[in-house]
Amino acid sequence: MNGRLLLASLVLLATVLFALAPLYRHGDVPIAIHHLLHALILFGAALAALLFTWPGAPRAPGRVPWLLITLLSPLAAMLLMWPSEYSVFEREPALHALQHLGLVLFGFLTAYAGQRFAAGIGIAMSATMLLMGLLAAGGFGVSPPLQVH
Amino acid sequence: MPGLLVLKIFLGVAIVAIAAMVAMALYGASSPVPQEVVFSKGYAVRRYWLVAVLVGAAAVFAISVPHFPYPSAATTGRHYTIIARQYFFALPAVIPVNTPVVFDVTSADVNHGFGIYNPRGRLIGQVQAMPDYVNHLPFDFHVPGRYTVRCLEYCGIGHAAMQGSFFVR
Amino acid sequence: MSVPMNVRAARAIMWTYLATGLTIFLLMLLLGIAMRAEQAGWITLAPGSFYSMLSLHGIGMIVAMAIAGLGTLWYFVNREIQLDARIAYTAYGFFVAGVVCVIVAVFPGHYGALWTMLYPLPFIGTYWPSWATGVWLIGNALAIAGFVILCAQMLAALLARYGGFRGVLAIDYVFQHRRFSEEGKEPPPPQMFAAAITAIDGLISSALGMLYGIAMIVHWIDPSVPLNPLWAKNLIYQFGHTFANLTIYIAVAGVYVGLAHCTKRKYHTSVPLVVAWWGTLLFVILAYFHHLYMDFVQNEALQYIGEIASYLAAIPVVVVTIFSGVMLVHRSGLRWGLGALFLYAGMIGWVVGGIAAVLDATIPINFDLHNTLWVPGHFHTYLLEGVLLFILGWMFVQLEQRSGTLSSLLTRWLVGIGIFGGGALFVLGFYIAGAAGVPRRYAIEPAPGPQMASIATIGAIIVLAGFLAMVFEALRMARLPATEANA
Ligand code: HEM
Ligand SMILES: [Cu+2]
Repeated sequence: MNGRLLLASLVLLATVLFALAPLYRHGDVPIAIHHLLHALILFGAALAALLFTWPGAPRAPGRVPWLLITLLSPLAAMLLMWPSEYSVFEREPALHALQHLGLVLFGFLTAYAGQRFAAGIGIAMSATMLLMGLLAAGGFGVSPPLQVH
Repeated sequence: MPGLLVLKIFLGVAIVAIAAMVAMALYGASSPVPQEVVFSKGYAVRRYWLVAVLVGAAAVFAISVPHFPYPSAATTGRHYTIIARQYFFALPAVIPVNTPVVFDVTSADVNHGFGIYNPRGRLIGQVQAMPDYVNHLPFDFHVPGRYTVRCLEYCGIGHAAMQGSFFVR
Repeated sequence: MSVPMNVRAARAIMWTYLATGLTIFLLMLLLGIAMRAEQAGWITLAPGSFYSMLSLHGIGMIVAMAIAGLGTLWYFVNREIQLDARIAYTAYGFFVAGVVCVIVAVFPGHYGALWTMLYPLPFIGTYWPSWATGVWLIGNALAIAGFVILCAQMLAALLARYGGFRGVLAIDYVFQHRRFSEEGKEPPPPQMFAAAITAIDGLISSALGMLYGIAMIVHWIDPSVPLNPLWAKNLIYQFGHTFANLTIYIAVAGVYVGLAHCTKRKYHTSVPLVVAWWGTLLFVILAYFHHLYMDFVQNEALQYIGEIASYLAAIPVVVVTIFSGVMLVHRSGLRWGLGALFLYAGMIGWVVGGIAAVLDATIPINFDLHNTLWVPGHFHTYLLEGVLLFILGWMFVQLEQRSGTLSSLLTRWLVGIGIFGGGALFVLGFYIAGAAGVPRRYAIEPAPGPQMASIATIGAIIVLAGFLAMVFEALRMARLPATEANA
């Protein structure tokens, strides 16, 4: 096992452990912060996938299914971040952890399928996914602070 | 800046631009020259052109900044609350003339616009009316009369009919 | 010599995209005339119909231009590195499905919250059923997906062909120019920068568009999820503005290739050209802040960035692209077929619309013009008299090349007067009314709106006549026998 694969495995392991946090830590986190933490999970998973596939991806653009997977995975991740689910998750930490594992999966798939489609596309799609995850904190299920007149 | 003045500037610049491009296409069209001849002259001109455009843009920017309509820490004046909703405005009846005022503009439902038309029917300024937010629009009226307010953000089927008015005295 | 399979397949894709885009264009043009005629008071539409039609017209036109232009861009990329045609057809399927959804949302559904679908308008006080909002949102998402597919495919091909982002953006070519040419390397040809910037900015903006789409779909299903209205505005305008803007940069690839062909001159990649495209890459995604100038709660620094980026986005255009285009034509002895005429006139339209845009991107001016008819004035100038002409120009360059003939003088005058003359009259109506403060998106306008709308409707009908004449001419030329070299 070479260093790169070891690093990739470590990143993936750390991400999964972080994703399981709801099982052993319980806190009242605002939705915006939640989105940011989720973006972190997506980042970890995508990074691991990029390390796994580096640099052995095919050079020329590949097949349609990989393209569709890398296109749809970020969307699935955003749907998983459905903001009204946290009221349920507060009572069911296991579900919350499961949702996090879903994020790991989709984050990983985005990068992995992208790189399998063609070198560089996994990076590009991961970057845009991360952008979506971070920006979600600005208003997805988040109302602006009350204004003083 | 009044719209009709902008229109004149626009038409002037546009006509010059169109004339220049048409002239470049027609001038000497019947006596072609090799590409290198045109390009070596063109590249020399382009330097100055680039500088001119950059300086022009910087100048316009610098001139525009002091005229930005945004409130600042120094903004003072009597506050008037404006609430827009589908499809009318809650407006004060009278605004004092030659007195700095601040409109606190918000919306009770969807996005609207708060566009102020002077007694001659010209648009003299505006701000968006947003749900969940309050926009502060500083203003100073110098001409008394009846001002019309029109909605300037599409808000549904009654949008075109959404208007109100106030007096400046 | 027969045309290789790959080129045949690529041509089929280009013509499929072109024909689809222009067909949608024609339908949307008819809607446009109906709307302008209603504003002129010539006809009366059922309440709400105007806004439903406006919703469809706005999105349909932009998507039409994007589809028509993307087919050509795809064709150009395929000339540099072979692309998988199945992917282009997959994307095409998404586009068509998206367009169908959007039409269904409007035509039985009466959806009427415009392309902007500003939160929370599609959900509050609507005159259409909730399902129409959902179908509209899904249609938008499908069309964006089609776009993302093409962006990803083109980007992948460019990365493979030119050696990563460094090669695609020609970094070494600019910073180590001497070594680059000593090693006998070639930078990408100009039209590949159009493809690269489209793909990169397209992916970034589509992510924001998709995020907005998903948030809206979630709110549609589950109204207990609130969205932040200012955030929503930023996302939709970032996506919408960039996408509409990119249609120009997509179509401009046809100018690079087409004008070079007509003038028998070479459109080379140069260091200024590359640097100009870098500028475009950055400023096109930042310029959208000008849509939020009148949102005073927006961070003020972003307003400054908006004005600066809007100005800077114009500079690569006037200093490099248009300037080089004019140099290319100047004293080239080109013969003004419809192809060259459209391409050159399109550059003029782009410049004129750009001047109006830069004025309106100046905040104190925007204070008096924001959301007036000035805005449709400027963008119709560079969409109708810019992007559309680039697309038609490239189409005619090929028809002329294939048949080895040019259109008759009479045809050129008819088409020219129709599309340029009618178009000028049409946009002038918007500018004058806008300068007088007439709001945009009003089914019934205050004076002098209706008077200007009458003039504009006449202009638009003349455009229609010119467009139809153009279509007949194109069909006539397509049926001519191909010259030997192009058989
Ligand atoms: C002669 C042809 C055309 C006619 C008659 C026409 C007519 C119109 C009219 C009447 C409006 C509404 C203006 C208002 O009151 O706000 C409009 C808006 C619009 N048009 Fe066109 N148009 C034409 C061509 C185009 C083209 C070529 C494009 C794009 C490629 C385009 C894109 C749009 C967009 C994006 C809007 C704004 C929609 C909105 O406000 O939400 N139009 N057009
Ligand atoms: Cu309104």
